[in-house]
Amino acid sequence: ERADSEKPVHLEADRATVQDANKLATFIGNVVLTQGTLIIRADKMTVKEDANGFQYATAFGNLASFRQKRDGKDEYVEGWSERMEYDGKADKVQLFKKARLRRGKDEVHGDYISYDAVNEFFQVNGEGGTSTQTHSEGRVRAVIQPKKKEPKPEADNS
Amino acid sequence: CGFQLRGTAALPFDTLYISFPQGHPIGTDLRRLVRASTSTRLVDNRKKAEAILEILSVTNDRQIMSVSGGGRVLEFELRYRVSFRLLDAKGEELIPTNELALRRIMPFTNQQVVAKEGEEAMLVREMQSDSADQIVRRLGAVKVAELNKSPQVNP
Amino acid sequence: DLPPLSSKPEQGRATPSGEGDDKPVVIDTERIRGHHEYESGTRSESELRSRSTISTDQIKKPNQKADPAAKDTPSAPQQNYTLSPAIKTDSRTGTSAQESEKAESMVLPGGVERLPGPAAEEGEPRLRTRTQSAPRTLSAQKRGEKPAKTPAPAEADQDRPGFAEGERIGGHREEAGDEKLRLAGETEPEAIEQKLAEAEAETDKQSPVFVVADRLQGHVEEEIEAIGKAELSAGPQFISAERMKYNQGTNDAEAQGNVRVEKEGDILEGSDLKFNLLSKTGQLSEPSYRLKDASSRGYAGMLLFEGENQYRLQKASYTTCPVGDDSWVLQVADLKLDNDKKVGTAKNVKLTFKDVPILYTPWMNFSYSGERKSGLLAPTYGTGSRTGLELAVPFYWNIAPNYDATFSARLMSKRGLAINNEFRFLGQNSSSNLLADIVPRDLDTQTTRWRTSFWHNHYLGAGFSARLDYNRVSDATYFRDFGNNLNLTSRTNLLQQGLLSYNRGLGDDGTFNVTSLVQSFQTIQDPLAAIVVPYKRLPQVGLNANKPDVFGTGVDVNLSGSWTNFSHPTLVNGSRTVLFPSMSYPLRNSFGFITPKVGMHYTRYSLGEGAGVSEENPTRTLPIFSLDSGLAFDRKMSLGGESFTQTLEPRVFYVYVPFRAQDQLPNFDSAKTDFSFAQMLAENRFSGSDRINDANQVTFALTTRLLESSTGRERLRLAVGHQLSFIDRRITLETPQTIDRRPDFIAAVSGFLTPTISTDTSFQFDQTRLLADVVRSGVSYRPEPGRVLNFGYRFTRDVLHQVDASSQWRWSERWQTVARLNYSLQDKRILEGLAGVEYNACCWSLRFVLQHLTLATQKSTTAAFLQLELNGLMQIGSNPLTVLQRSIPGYIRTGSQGSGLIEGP
Repeated sequence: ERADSEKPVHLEADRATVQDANKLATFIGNVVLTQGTLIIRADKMTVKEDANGFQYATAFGNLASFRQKRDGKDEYVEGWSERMEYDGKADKVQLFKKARLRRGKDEVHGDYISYDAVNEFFQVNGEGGTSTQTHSEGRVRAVIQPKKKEPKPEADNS
Repeated sequence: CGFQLRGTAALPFDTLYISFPQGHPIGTDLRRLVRASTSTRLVDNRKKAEAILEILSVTNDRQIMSVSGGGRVLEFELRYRVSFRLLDAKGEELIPTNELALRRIMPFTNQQVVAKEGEEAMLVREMQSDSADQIVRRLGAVKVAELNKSPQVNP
Repeated sequence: DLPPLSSKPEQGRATPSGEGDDKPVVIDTERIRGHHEYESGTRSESELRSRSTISTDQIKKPNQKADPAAKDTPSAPQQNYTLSPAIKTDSRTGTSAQESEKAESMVLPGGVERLPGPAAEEGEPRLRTRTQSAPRTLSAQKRGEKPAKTPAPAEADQDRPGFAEGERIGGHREEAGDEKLRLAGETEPEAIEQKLAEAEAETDKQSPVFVVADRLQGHVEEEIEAIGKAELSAGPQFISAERMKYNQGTNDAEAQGNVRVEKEGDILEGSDLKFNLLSKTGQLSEPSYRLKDASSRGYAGMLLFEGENQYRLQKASYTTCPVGDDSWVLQVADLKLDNDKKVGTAKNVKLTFKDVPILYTPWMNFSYSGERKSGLLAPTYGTGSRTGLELAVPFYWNIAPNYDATFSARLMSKRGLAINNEFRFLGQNSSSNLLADIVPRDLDTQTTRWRTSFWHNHYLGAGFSARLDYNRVSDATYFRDFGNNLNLTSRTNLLQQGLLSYNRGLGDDGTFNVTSLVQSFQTIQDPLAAIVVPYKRLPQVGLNANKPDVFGTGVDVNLSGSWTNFSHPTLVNGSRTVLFPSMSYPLRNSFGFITPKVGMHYTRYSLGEGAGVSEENPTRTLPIFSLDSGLAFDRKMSLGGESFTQTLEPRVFYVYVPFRAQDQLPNFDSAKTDFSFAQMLAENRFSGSDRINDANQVTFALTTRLLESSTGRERLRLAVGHQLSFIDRRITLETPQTIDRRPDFIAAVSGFLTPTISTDTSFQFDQTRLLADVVRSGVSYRPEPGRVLNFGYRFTRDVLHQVDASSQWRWSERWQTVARLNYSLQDKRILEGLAGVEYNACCWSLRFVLQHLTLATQKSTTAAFLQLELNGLMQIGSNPLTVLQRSIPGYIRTGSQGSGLIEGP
């Protein structure tokens, strides 16, 4: 939710090392970061705090995962990837390598996915490999479920 | 030379229902033939029959066979076509839909158009009993390995 | 129940001699049809009169699983296209006709009109009533259909006796499988409901959308943009393009950059696309398309998707030729393709064949489905030695689904203008057909000539049914001048008859029938071979009752009788009462039967004076006694590796009828019958009731059949028969001085000698002089479809002596020839000659057939048919198909292998 960025950040981990000088903390071992409705789980995570207190986390895991409630809807957006970067201030998550983002039954797969929770904008890129890539790797895929048919006037196609 | 009197034509089913175009005389011929020359019992209820013989269509028509030097018809070819099939109680086809076609030639003269009607009727009648004969013989040849004898459960 | 067909002497249908009615086609070209599909499936033009009954059981049970796919006419589906009724666009069509005429100069005018003869073909135009279950495949025309509620008695069923059937006007295609007239105006019932149901279901559980691309971006639950070789697939729909945007909310998809849309085999490519996955609407610019069903392809300015399976192409080209071969192309301003009904509707059409424009038309529609949709055709042209050059312009008026009319204006260089009109009606229990042709002023004879035929069949309920059959023509040579096929030109007695019959059952298998009819003929004479006009029956009331196993005694009782008032302009008039009760006691078991039968035949005449007859009310009563018996032997055998059951069926039939002088009796309806297997096992060798032969004879018959053990099907049958008369028979019909010589020995073989060679041959001998009186032999060799060779030899002493050979031979994928020669050795002239060639390219075929026909004693006609068929679109020119089907037994219309009507090119 939009309100998440104002929420305090809680972090749990097996072990943690903190370097106050550059406000960098490293957590290792089933790390869980929660901020409002956002939950990030990873094997290892480094968290930095900027001058006015916004947290930036980089999580690594054999598929680190994140989960956040959508604004105004009781629905969650979830994502998995090998490396995950979370920008507390912009409330934006970037997933690298084997990235997968899911909302309800809609899913997108790719090598890089960025998800801006504030205006729910996502971007998915392949490995950026050359177009000779075979269909599967290097390509991004999305599965979109048809919306429940709300009674809306016949959409005239633009 | 190996010929013996034909035994009772044992049809591979005990009860048979014959459906034929309403009122068409071929139905009477078939019923009489089955009753007389086979041990199968005719039933009037489709559901109680182990096998259903469906006469789908009976068509007879006439075509010019030969004409005279003056372009007048001298011979007609009478054609008699019966399409039929045999179903078992479950509705599976024991004999798939097929057609029996017979033909006879009838000489014709224009003066005797009224008289020739009688002759034509006689020839059609003969083709009809011939086709009934052939149909009953086809029934006898049905292999009954998987005939499910139980009458149809669902109507 | 119905009277046994046989026992009723008069079947309530007169068979006017020379009755020949085939598919009437104006220019012997395919049928003209309007927007409304008006089915006139017929199997072959040659079927003169067909009487088909459908098992009501089959009608009642619409969920019939397998359609009775009796071997269907193997003719490959053909396309015909519909041109807008010329009334509206008279000027345009007129011009387009000229243009096409001019443009077609390179296509020789061919084809001779065929005067619409009665269309008593097998699958005659079928108007479907609501109660009738629509046969799933339209092409199931094989079996005639009649309104389900019409349990008309066998005689009065749907077929129309003799000449009276209403023929069709204009070039109606005879191919089976046309759309049918429907009763009470609703659309095709089941198909529509079913489709709607599917549609509902589909949108509810709409299939998920899969998107693949190099890069994706978008807002959750709103739109998703795919960049770089984007592919979107949703259910059967597949779209690929450089860039694509899909809006989840509105289900709109937009794509740019070599867009390709694929759906169930149809491939559309274009520059950019807007498409709504839900409503299946949208547009694709500069498309090139390939449609699987129509196996057609082409380019267009714009392609509009107008719903599920509905395409509309603007400024499009259309052809069914394979890529790279543009033998024919349709340039269209606007082409709407309905992939459900498989119908194309085009506006402002220019058709080019080998880059030569051959047709302009403001509007046309055509069917590209497997089953051909009939349609109004382009004006057709032809030549005939008796009508000269001619052009037919058809109109079609679809009054209601069960009521339609067809008019055709026919301009003939030698005869002037002829208007042919036809009306058809299908009621719940009745159907009728009116044909009226008029030639206001025949240029040749300066007279008005006309011809009409009306046919009506009505089931009145409770066993009563009525039928009317009226034909009349203005003058004796009408058919010989305007008709060009044997069924029309050989017509001599035009039936004019009204019939009312009542049928009911008598217990289990008994039948009871009363039929009353009024019958007369218009005899059109060939001046050089005039005949005696047949008797009129004004009226005849026939009764027929049959009860087997009366009171369980095993005795079958049969009563047939009739009262008829015969009238004739010259011969003796009078009425006749016949009563013929008979009893038989059939003893039957599995291997044999013995059936004694005794009957008393009573006849009483009341003749008008001046009949030159001694007595005014002569009567004749004579007993008829017969004893029929037969045995059946079987044995297993194998022949050429196949196992057969061979039967041996001896039969002995004894008849005793005392002599009664009958030379004083008039002869209204008796005639000598052909000595056939059927006749030699009957009691009277004269047909009708005026002459009962004196007989004390025994007939021996021996039949052996080869039955396939696996199916019981009769592969081959040989039979011999000999009639031994213990007395010399004194009742004759010939003038006294000719001895009553009659063949008394018959031999016949029919069936398959080898898997590809079949024969049907019979000989009739006169034992005393060891001379063959009748030889009828036919052999046909059919190695594969499209290749058939028939030989026939027919000889009847002093009557006819002919040889007949016909063949259809496909030499290669491209070339096929057809030929027929029917030569009369007795008259030393060709009765019918035919030669033709057909070239099949992959998407078009050209047929040329030349036919020579004997019309009358010294009159013959030569007709040329030339037809260009553009597969999947239409046919131009005169259609030789019906002529070929009639002339060449076993002829199969083989579409070119590339016709791709069914499979892709």
